[in-house]
This record gives sequence, structure tokens and C-alpha cells, in this order.
Amino acid sequence: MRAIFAFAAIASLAACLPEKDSAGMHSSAQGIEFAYLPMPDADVVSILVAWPQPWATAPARNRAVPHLAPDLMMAGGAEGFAPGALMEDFAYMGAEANLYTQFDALHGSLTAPPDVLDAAVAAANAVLRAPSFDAGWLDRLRSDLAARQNETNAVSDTQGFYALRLGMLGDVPYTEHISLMDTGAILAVTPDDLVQWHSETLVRAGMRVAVAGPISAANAAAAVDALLANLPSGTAEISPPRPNFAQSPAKTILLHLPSAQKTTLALAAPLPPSGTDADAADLIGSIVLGGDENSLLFQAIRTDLRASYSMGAGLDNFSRAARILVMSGEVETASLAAAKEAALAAYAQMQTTAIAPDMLSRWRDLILEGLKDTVSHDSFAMATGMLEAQLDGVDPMTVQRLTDIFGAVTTDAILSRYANDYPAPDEVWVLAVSNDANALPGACVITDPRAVQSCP
Amino acid sequence: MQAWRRNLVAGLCGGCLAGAAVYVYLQDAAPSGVIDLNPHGFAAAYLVPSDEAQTTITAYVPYSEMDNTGTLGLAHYVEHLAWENAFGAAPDMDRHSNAYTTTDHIAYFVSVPREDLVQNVQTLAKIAQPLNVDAEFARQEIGIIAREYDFAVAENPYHDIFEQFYIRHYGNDARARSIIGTPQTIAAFTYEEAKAWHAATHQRSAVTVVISGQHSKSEAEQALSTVLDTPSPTADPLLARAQIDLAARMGGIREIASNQLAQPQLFWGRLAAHPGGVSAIEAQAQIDLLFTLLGSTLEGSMAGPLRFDARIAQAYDFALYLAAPFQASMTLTSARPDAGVTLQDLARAIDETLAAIAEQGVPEATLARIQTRMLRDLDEQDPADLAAVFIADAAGQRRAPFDAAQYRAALQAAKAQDLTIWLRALAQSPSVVDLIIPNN
Repeated sequence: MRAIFAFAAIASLAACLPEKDSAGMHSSAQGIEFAYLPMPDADVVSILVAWPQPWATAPARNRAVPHLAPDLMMAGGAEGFAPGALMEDFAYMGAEANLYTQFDALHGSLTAPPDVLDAAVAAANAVLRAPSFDAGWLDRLRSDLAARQNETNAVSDTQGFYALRLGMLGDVPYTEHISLMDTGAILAVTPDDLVQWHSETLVRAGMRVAVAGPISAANAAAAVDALLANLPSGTAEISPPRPNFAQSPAKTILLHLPSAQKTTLALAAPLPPSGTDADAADLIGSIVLGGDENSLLFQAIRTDLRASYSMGAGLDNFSRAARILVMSGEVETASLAAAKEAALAAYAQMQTTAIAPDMLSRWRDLILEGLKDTVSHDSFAMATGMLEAQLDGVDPMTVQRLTDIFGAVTTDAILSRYANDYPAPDEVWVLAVSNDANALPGACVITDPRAVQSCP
Repeated sequence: MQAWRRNLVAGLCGGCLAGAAVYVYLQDAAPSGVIDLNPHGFAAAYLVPSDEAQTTITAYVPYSEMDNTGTLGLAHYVEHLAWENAFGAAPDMDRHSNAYTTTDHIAYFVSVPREDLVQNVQTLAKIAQPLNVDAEFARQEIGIIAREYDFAVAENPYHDIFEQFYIRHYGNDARARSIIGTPQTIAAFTYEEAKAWHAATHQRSAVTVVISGQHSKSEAEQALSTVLDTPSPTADPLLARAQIDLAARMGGIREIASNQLAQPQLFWGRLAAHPGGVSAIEAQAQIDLLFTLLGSTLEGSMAGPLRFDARIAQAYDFALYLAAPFQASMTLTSARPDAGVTLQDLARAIDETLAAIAEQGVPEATLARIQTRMLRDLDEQDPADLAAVFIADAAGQRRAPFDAAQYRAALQAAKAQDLTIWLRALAQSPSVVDLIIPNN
């Protein structure tokens, strides 16, 4: 009898263990929902958290706070940690922690070997729960960020892309949130701003959590509870409004800056939001269009036209909802108009002609090869995938299908995506920045990025 | 591994080579994890076994801008033309290739399916054949490099400041030559000058080839054996890298007005030679340890006294590396003073902090903690990646690659007094300081 009971107990245990430790959404003892993926072959445990930041879209807020505050939290010390001590402890443990604003969310990440996870989690919790917001460090970081942002904003590209964002998103608070052109706002950040931002943002309401690595579900739940212990429940909106494109027709703009030392061309095609299997076709399509020396844009503008060092294409986000395919590069001023036409022709080719099968297979195979290691060893990448999926409002366990999703991309799928879901060439925004006001005939010429709204 | 992150604007003067000994490449065995190949006319060849599906073949040319006495930036122009010489004939969708130019070497690489090894070894080897690109293409490529200048340098307010600082810091040594050049020197390139420099530097007998992928030794050697020989009529002997002439380096403070930078800041540098009795691999390991230690916030660091225990330096970028054999460069760049601290105060505080920690000596406990960190990080690195770094570094420095196991042993064996020797040498060298004063 004893043997039968023992067998039953083992069978019962065996039956529940895979379920307890299976990938999926779990809930901690403190009631925190988190996406979990066991990765026994990974070296480190990765815990990622995203907090919505209504601050990014709310009116009458200092736009610099969500950028300055995370840096200050990491550098300026926390309860039990002097400034500098925290990063030194993390380095000694072989752990890494980051906190930063991306789009309309605050992102936090912690990676640590399992044997030091408890200590790393305790230190990270101190940062999240009780940052020092040391006045001296606030002075330092305010001044440093303002100086760096001033230098960045003086670059002609920066001003050009600001015009593009103003045109495509509109002159709304969020545009300033992601642009930070007003460096006076940085210097105006007060300790009260930081306290208010912290109390509104570092809360449980609305946050998304993902854990991946060599850790059981039970230990992951315990780590999540310890990491987020004593954060207030908060009142943050679970799904704050997502900044999206303004309903404005595409424009062709030349930002004339007499001080510009180069001519830059950028084309931006507004895309549907990410979060579907078509993301894979988008990625491979963008590489074929402008990813290397064999790409359509490189061949058209460097090899044939000889007008640019490199004209590349990539996917970018203004916000989680407002996504773009951007094609950009520095071009010879006298060839600006021809480069624009060549870039649009390359883009149009993606909508009318299936890419060569060997181009697809090369990139698809490289991605699949990379995924082999990623899915088994890279806990940070997998946790990132699960977190992004949650923010996109889709099943975080989509990360387990990545190999299938990329393996299923065909030349027809890319052609269909470009033909059906991407804007026509005449709906693509064109922006040039140059010291030659006549370099792009037919463009709306402005001398200040803010004047983009006046362009037809 | 920061010692391998050499500054791209750093660069040996031609004259410095004159007294150096001729370097013989194949004097040591291949580093661990790497298979030494019959080089078939190349200077050296290695197979780095890897489980990557794609094979990567890299050719390292041990000459670059620091060896160029002609038009500034010419080595980079030659890189563009030599790449075209090899890969420009026809695009290949199954192939990705590129090239880069550093201060002391040029590298060309190609990534292909493993079955295409032989064909692509032959293609890559054409970088060492006499330049034979269309003259009009060569002329247009000057415009492409001008656009590369736009891409990488134009409107970067720090570029000129860094270049001018390193000229002083390296005492006018050729390591300070600009790799990209200036718009004026780029416009002055000629195909004839490029062909002459290419012929003098891109000799098969000087090139190191590395094959990384799923190949046997015999497969790799067979591929190398298929490369047709080309004459090397102007081959120069490959000389060992010389040291920087420290006597030519003048310390002191210089003020530079800037219209572009928004905040006062300074660029500070020391350059010192080890007094002797250390091997190249020991020197490398000791400098790597010292870099991590000085950048920490632990006792004996620079960051502690300057940023964390007192409010003197708001921020700075710190670098410590071997700039030449047994010579260490230590720099604090874009160093910004805290409120109420003048640039002169900051420069003085950096000097005094270095003097104080050198006088005190490297604390044993701090070194032990740093060694633990670095050994763990080293053990986590992919052996193939590490071997690639060692080989690339060796090519530019014209020596045999370090062995990973011996490097690890040198990290572990380093004593506090070993690091203190470097620290005291640096503390005794003159500071080169540029103060950047914004005009607005």
C-alpha cells in the first residue's frame, strides 16, 4: 500500500510540476501577474517591468521629468545605498539593472545569475521604492542632460526629425515628450516634480512584468514580489491613450538651415502598429530594402547614383501605435532630388515586385540561425519579447512561436504586406535638411521645424 | 577588454619605424582555441572553429593611417578601393562583406554560406592584388567618402576637439593622425596616390587571414592554397611597432574657445612607459585591471574622490589603454566640473587625485574584487569572439596574438604592486590639458 501511495504521490507531483513551471501568465503571492518562461540553459534570470506613463501625454507637465528621473534613480543612491555603491554592487555580482523611458512607458530591467538574484532584487527594490533623489545629484544630472541635449538639438538632423515628428504626430505634448527640444524644461525640473512623477508612475496599476531564465515559477513569483514590494497600488490608467499619427496628408519638406554642414534625406512611411505575425515580414522587408550592400536602396543610391555613403531603411516607433518605416542617409546636395526619386522607386518596387527568393532566404536563414541560440540562452531577449507583447496587447507566449513565425515568411507575404498595408509612394513623408533652399524642387521650404504645420 | 577599444582617432610616424626590428610573424604557436594554418604565402592564417552556420573570412592588413605619410585619410580611401577591387565586380545575394580602417590596421571581411569558402577566400584575397578599379569609379568614391564624413563627423562638435587633443596627447606621433581626414584632404585624394600606397602596404606576405566557421583544418588550408600568387615588387619589410617619443610630448594647459559646445569641459591626458621587467601579455592584463579599478567607485579609484566622495567632476569619460608597446595612455575626456568648480580647479583635482592614489598604492582588497569580476566576465566570453579580438589586435600591433589561457593567467597573477608601478609612472608624466570654453 505504501508503494502505491508513493507512486500516486510521485505521479501527482509529476503531473503538476510541468504545469507549475510551464511558460505562460502566472500570478505571484502578492497578486502580481507576470509572463514566465523557464530557460534552464540560460546563465542569468531576467526580470523586466514596464509602467505606463500618463505623464507623457498629460498636458501641463514638465516633459523632461520622465527622462531625468530614471537616470537620477540609478545614479543618485537609494535607501541603504550611497550614490555609486549600487552600480558597483551590481557589477561585482555580475548583475545589471537599467531604468529608462521609452515612448510612453517607463522600462526597468534586472538581469542576474541565479545565485545572487535575491541580493540583486533587494537592491533594485530599494531603487524603485525609495530613491534618494539627492539634490546634489539632481543639480548634476540636470545640468549634464541639458548640455548634452543642447548639443544634440543643434545638429541639423535632429531639427529635421523634429519637423518630421511635428508633421506626422502634430504639435501635441507627446511630440515634445519624445523630442525634448525645450532644454529649459530640463533645468526647471524640481524635487517636487520628481516626487510627483515617482508617486504616479512607480505603482502596480497597469504595470506589465516578464520573467525568463533558469528559475522555477515559484521562485520567479517570489522574485517579482520582492522586486516590486511596497510599491503603492496607484491609480495609473491600465491602458492610457496611445499617441497616434495626426490625420495629416504626407508632405514633402525642405528644412533650410544655412548653418547645416551636410544634406540629409529622410523618407517616412506610416505603418500599422506592431503586434502581429506580420512583424516578421516587416523586419525582413526592411532589411531587403535597406539593410546592407545588396539592398535596393544601397544599390540605387550608392552603387548606381553615387550620391550617398549609405542610405538605409529601418523600422522605428514614434509611439507604440505610431510606427514608421524610415529610409535615410546623407546625400550629395546636387543629387538630392534624384536621390529622393530613387528612394521612392526602391520603395515602390517592394510594393509591386516580389523580392528575389535568395534575398529572402539569406536573411530569413540568418534570423532563424540567431534564434536557435536566443530562444534557449538569451533570457533578456525572451523577456523583452514577452514584455513587448504585453504592451502590444497580444499573447506574451508568442515568443515561443518566433521560429515558426519567421520560418513562415515568404516572398509573397512580404509583397502582400507592402502592397496592402504600407502607404503608396505618394503617401510617404519626405524630409530634407540642407543649407541650399533650392535643393529639392517642389518641396515646402521652411526655416524652422515648427513651421511644418503650415506646409500643404 | 577595454585595452582593445583603441581610440579611432589615435594613430605611428613613418620615422618612428626606422630603428625598429623586423618582426617575424610566425614565431609563436596559434592561441588556444585557434588552429594555426599553413598560410600559403600570407603572413599568417588561422582557423577559429565556430558553430555559426555562416563562415566569416577576414583579412587583416597591418598598415593603416599611422603608416601613411601622404594625404591625410588616404588609408581609408585605399580601404574603399581595395574592397571594390575584391567585391565590386558583381553583387552576390548570398554574401555580406565590409571593411574598416583603424589607426594601425585595415580589415576586410566576408560572411558566406560554408560551402562557398574556397570561392570567397579567392575573392577576398584580391584586396592584395594591384588596384584595378575604373578610374571614374575611383574619382566618384572620393565623393562617397565625403558623404561618409557627413555621416560620421559633420556637425559633431567633439570631433575636432578630440583630434586636436590627441595630437598634443601623443606628442605629434602618427597615432594621432585622423583616419577620416578633413573635407579638404578628402577632396585632395588621387587614384594614383592610392594605388602607390596600396602597392606598398597590401602585400599578400603581410596579410593575416582568419577563417571562422565549421571547417576542418584541411578544408581551410585547401582554400588558402587555391589563391593565385601575385608579385610583390614593392614589399617593405614589416617592422615592429615603435614606442611613442615621450620627450616630444609637451605637457601644459591650453584654452580653446568653442562656438558649438554648450558646457565648459576639459580633456586631460597622461602617457607613460613601464620601467621594464614585464611581458607584453602581463602589461595588457595589468592595464585592463587598472582601467576597471580606476573606473570603479572602490577605494583606490579615480571616480570615488572626483565624483562620489566629493563634488568636483560632474561627469567624464575615462580611458586607459596601451597606446604603444609598454606605454599606457590615460585620459579623462569631456570632463565637466561640478557647480562652483572651475576648469582649472578640476584639472588640478584630477592631477592631485592621481598623485594621491599612486602614492597610496593599489589596495589589495580592491584588486581582488576587480580580479574576481574580470575573470568571471572573461570566462563568460565566447572563445571564438575572444580569439578574433586577440588576432585583430595583434595584426595592428604587428605581434603574435595573445593566448586566451595565458591572458587569463596574467589577470589572475597580477599583484597590487604591479598595478602601482603603472600608476606611479602615469603620476610622474606631464598632464596634457585642453580647456574648452564655450563662447556663448
